[in-house]
Amino acid sequence: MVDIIPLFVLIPLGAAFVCLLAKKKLPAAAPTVSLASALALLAMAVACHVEGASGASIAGAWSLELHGGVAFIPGIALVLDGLSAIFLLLVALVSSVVIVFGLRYMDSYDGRPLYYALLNLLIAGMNGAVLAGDLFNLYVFIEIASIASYALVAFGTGGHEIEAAFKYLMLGAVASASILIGVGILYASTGLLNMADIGAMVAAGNVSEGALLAAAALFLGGLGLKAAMMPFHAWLPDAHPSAPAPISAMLSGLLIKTLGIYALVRILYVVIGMDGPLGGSLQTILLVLGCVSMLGGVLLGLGQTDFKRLLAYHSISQMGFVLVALGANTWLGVAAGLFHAVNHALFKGALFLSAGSIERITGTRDLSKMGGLAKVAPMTAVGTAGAALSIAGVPPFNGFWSKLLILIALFQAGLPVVAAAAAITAVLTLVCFTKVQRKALFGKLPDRLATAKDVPLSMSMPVLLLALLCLLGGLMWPLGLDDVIGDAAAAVRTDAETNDAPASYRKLVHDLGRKP
Amino acid sequence: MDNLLLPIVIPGAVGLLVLFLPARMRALHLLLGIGGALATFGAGALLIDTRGAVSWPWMDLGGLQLDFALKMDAFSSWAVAFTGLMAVLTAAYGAGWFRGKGGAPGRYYAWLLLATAGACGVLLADNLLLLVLFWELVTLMLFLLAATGREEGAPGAAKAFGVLGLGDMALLVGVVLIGLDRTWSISELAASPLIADQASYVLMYVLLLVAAMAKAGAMPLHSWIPTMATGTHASVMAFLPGAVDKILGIYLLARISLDWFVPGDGLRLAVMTIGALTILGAVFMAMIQHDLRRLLSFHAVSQVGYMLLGIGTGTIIGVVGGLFHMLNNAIYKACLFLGAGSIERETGTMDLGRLGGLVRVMPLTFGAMFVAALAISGIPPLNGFASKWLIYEACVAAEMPLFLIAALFGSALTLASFVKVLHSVFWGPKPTEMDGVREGGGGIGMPLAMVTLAGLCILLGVFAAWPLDNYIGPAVGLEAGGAVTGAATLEGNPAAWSDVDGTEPVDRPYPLGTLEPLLLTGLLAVGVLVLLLLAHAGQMRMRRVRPVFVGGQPFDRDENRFPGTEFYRTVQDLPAVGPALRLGASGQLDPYEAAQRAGTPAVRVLRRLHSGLVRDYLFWCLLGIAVVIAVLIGS
Repeated sequence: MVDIIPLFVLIPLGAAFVCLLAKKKLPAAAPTVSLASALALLAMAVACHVEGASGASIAGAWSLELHGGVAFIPGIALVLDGLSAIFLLLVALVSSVVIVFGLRYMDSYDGRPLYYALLNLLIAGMNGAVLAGDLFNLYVFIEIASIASYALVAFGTGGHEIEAAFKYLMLGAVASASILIGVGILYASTGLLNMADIGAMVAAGNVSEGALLAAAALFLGGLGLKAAMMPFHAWLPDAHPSAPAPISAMLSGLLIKTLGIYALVRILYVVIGMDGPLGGSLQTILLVLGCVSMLGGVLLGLGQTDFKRLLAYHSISQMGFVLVALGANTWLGVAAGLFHAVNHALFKGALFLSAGSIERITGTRDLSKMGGLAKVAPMTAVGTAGAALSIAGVPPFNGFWSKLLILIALFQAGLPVVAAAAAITAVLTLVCFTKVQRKALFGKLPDRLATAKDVPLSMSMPVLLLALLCLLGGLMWPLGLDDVIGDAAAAVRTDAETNDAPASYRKLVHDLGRKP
Repeated sequence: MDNLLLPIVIPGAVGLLVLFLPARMRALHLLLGIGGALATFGAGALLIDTRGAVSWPWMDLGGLQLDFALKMDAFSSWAVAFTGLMAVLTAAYGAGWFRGKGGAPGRYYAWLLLATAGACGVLLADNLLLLVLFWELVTLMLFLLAATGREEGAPGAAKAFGVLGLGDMALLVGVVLIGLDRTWSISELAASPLIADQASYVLMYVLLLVAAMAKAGAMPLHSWIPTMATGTHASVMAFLPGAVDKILGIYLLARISLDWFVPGDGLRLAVMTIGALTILGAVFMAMIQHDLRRLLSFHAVSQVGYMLLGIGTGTIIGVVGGLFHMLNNAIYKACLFLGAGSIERETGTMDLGRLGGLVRVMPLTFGAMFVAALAISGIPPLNGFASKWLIYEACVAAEMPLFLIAALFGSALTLASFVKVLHSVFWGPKPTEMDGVREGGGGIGMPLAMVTLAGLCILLGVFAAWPLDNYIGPAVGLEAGGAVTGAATLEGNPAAWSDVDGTEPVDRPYPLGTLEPLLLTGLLAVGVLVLLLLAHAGQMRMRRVRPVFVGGQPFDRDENRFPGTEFYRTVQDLPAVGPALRLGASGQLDPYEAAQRAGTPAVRVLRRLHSGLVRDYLFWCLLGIAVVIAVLIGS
């Protein structure tokens, strides 16, 4: 399996170039190549899981050696463990669905090859970030994905799209700068970039506490901005709704998790160490900012009638759930947080896509001007309702299970106040999405929509598929879903009292170094 | 023991099947819907004497243990069968409702059957989390039934889901706390109930109490029922808020008060107080309503108060009375809602000011609603009287005269309110717009369901000893003949079932106070007979028939009516009651709207903070990083 690891980055990168090269001569090539690349990634990601399930664990590392001989001379180390694998699968799955949805949805936009090129670049950046074994490459891949996303937000080239992209770019630049400075500080004080090696030095107590502290703060700020953690969230409610619907789904469903949550988990647990001297205060920060994000996001969502903006605020709120779960700093907490991140990708992806469909059907994003869509657009309505019930945490949909696990993890970690905040947020989310269903799907159909028709199958099926996955995600516990999530969490936080997962990550990377 | 699956699997499977059948196959939908409900009832009835448990492991993850564990005991057995019966009647009624009308019966039957499956699941679950799953399934089906039924139903459906969502979350948190503290298995929990004397156990009890109150619709968490009533099919109202949600809410209340916890006197007093306030508050609200369905929904709330009051006393007679009242309420309340549905189907209105004089044209509906109205008002010998009598006696035995007065007064006001309903709908001159109204447009299903329910009102009243001895008594550990086994948490009531020193059982037909329904019925029958004879003898020769005229003018049916809507308007001028009613009517006391009012300023402040200026957002980012650094240095 190890040999295919670089393909996760190379395939979408190659596809991006093909899309650009064929822009003039063969514009129809772009969607085909993109879809083929996404499906290939999906097959590879599934293969990794199947392999991992039959072997000991999903693991592998690969390094490009420029100078031969000893590893870890300038090169690109890519490491695949359980945590990376689940994100690879998620990226491949959601991006495939999104590309299918976009086949017809993007008809109304010009420059489609460019859209596909940027989309592939976005995928390459996310896959790279998830696989990167050293801090600098992590930063580079984050930048690749971010720059693609700035351009995609502005893709409509209308006034507010440009404005949103500009704000996103400005704040994104602050995030990039603080991540880069953080990387620099760690490099200056250790002389190393490889995450496993820095983690080993930190664990051995060989890094000055000041440097570690500054780096932690800068990473929290920079990656927190990518993860839309309050108070670093302000770009998101503008950027996510302004992008074309498939891109909104990519940004809200994937980008904030791969660049934000994944990187935060990896750096906090493996490099800086949640059990180290800073662990306690890092935990407090995650919990407090998580609670602020949860409650602030859901309150702002309640006040919205613009469907896509409402969804964007709920992304902040749902990321808050993930952050408090990570803040519990237990295996169950990390597992619940990752599970919720996966679930959020599915239902929020479905919701943003259906927001695009509904905008296409009704010509508006204003919920107060809709109604009764279940009558004229049954397929879209079923998909939307399923995803809405899922984010609202109604059993048997997946959102219920991850919220339940988060509650249990918080209570077990002795954090009843945070658990109460999570419970209140869950109720408010339910109220908000009941409002959405009532206003958009049920009730009276406005007269002007009496002749409206459902979107084509290539747009309604992706939404339905994601909603179905939400349902299956809730029902699949007997089929070993807990093992998949549990393995991913155990890659950074084991069940044991003292966490030996970072040590096994280091061992995984060092075994790569000794490879002949 | 796999038989225990039947009451869940049958309606669940048939419901899913109906959901995925093509919409054109209407006849098949009806057939499967009614057949599925019948099969569920049949399974419940056959299993009524089965006792046992069965369990399959499902999920065991980080302290959370979810088994598919079911258990049938003396309480759940009759509750399951009764839920099945309500499903059958609602399904039969629905067949009439959809006859000759558009609208897809498929989804109605699918949601109905899935709700039945969920309700049976709650009653059978032997794992706390499994109970939550089924519990929330019923909530979801309530939402879907209301939201997909009629266009006007959407706002009420959303509010119902919101309020019930709060209750469901309280249940979930409470269950998680119990599970992490003690056990996830209900049997194990019942084997060693939690003594609610320390704060954490009181908190768990209160959380579960909130869930039960929201589901059953006790004040102040009742507000979803009246809102939902204004826009939802009568049969949906009859089935869920009228019957099944009451069963589930009171089932949970009884379980937590008897089996899972030993609540202290303070908690019991709180439950009783909520009960008494619910009885009075809701009945006053009902008196001033103009919309029949909305009026009935306030009575549905009011009746929950009796159940809370009875169970809150913590005496055997009170608990038995509360559970019996839950059963009786489901019967007469469903009958009333179904009757309202028939009236709406034939007349097209629920406005009490426009209805009138339907007694001759809708005799079956009138008969059924008349019996049910007497039953809900606690008139002997109907079932409502029997259960209320037990609750009255429980109040006496618990030496709580204030609660007794509240319960009696509530009954009197209920009667007054139904006098208004009967007058407005059935009696008085018939307005001309009601001229074409006929009964029976929906075929046999609708009257059949109503008459069956009215018949049950009479049977369960006259032969009240039968369910009390065989089903409800055993549910709290009371065996026929007076021996008490189990129910260790219940205070015995010596005055009710043994002589003064509490040792020797008294010889009564059943050890539940002084209620003698058969004797009572006999005496009543004799009295009524005598009265009829006297009236007949006195009026025999005084009958004359003349056309009515008013002030020398021919009688105008529309001009000279006095609809019942004005009957109790003066209630609003009473001191204390009047202002409270106005507060209630304006939604000030509704927690859903109160939360909305409280939350709006917070949302506004948050929105104002989001100025859209990059300058401000950059400042937040830098401030955030500074705070993070400060916290990290501080440690």
